[in-house]
Amino acid sequence: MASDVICAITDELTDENAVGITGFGTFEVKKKLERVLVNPATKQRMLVPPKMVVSFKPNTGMKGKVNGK
Amino acid sequence: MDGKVSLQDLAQSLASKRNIQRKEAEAFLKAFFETISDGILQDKIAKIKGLGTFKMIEVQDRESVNVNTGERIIIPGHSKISFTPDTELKEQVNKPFAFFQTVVINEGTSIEDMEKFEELPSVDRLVVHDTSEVLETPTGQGVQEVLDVQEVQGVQEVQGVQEVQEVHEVPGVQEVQGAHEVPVEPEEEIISTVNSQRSTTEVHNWWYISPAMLALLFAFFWIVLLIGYFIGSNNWGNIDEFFNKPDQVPIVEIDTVYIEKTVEPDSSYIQVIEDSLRNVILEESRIKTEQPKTTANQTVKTVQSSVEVKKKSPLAYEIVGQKGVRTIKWGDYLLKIVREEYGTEDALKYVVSYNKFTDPNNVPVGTEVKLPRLKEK
Repeated sequence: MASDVICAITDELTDENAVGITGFGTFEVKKKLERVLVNPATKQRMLVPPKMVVSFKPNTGMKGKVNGK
Repeated sequence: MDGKVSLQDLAQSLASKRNIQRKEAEAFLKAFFETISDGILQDKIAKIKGLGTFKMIEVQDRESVNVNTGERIIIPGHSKISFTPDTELKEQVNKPFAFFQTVVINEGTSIEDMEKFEELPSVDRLVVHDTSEVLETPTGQGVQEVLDVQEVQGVQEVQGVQEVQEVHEVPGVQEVQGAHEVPVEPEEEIISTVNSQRSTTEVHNWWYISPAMLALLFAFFWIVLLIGYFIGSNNWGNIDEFFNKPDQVPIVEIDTVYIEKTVEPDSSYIQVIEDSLRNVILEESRIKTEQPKTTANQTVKTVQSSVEVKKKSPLAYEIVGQKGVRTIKWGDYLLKIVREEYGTEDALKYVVSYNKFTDPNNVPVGTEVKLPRLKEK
């Protein structure tokens, strides 16, 4: 049943929907643009492709809980 | 897509999936997340397979500026929660971009176009799914297809994603009408589709290249290649190496994308790294150049400071009053005074905010520096 919950969250995130849980926080999907990296050792320039990442923003309630308030 | 899903919505889908009451699903979800947050509080870390890892991270006091008054204040230390998604989740979410790989940029390619680009436009999921379907059938060709579409447009990779969209929007429409041969189209036809689509829809973005210019660039590219080949023909050994490298082929494609300007690549990113390195070096040299500032009392002061300087781990302090005053003399600087008075450089931010210095790097000779009495928390 717990794995179902995780599956449901994953499905929503793959649909680019944010998932907000009250008292906990929101899971968001963000787009990262491609970027040029320079390897400082070899001075080689690399091109990193764009990607989608998952980010989590804790709620104010959660943040307070963690700080002992 | 692009909407926000709430706990209730999750409960709904969970209830329908598992054939239980919606209230039960809601209760389960609530308990689920409460367990996670309790775990974070207790153990500082909570790892959930399939989802990711939540960690509790301690943050130190940090000096900052009050946005209204402009005076320096201290943001107190606190804890924050970090989340790192699991591999499965990452891969699932990144599916539309799964084919992309990091590549090495060759010398001479221009990246100026990239810096001008701002927000990646919202990707139409349905259309992108069509893309992945098309790319899966001829897998070897698939990657080539994406890159060739870019070549046609002559635009940076990010724009290329948008292009892939447009390419398959047309086949999508045709599919509805029943023409199923479209998804198996070879590369050349898709490129011509793009060209015709562009003329019909009249897209007017300034960085699109007309077919005539494209032909010119293509010819120019080959001429440059031939000239380079003949110039380098003295070193046959090197050329063999060049051709035998297996991963050179895909990189050639990227060359065509950026061939429009043969200007030196924008080194602003390198500049950032060099600046940060320079700052690190400056910090070190500043501590070292304490010695060369010769004054009459130099010998006495150097003995003092060499004894007292110890790098403590950053502790949190409280200001419990004032313990004295120091006047800036020629050759003094704030950091030196802080080290002498407190034995640690960590107190600097507290001294700065206590005195409300606007520019701690530039405190003139003769200024009275109030020394707060600091108590460890």
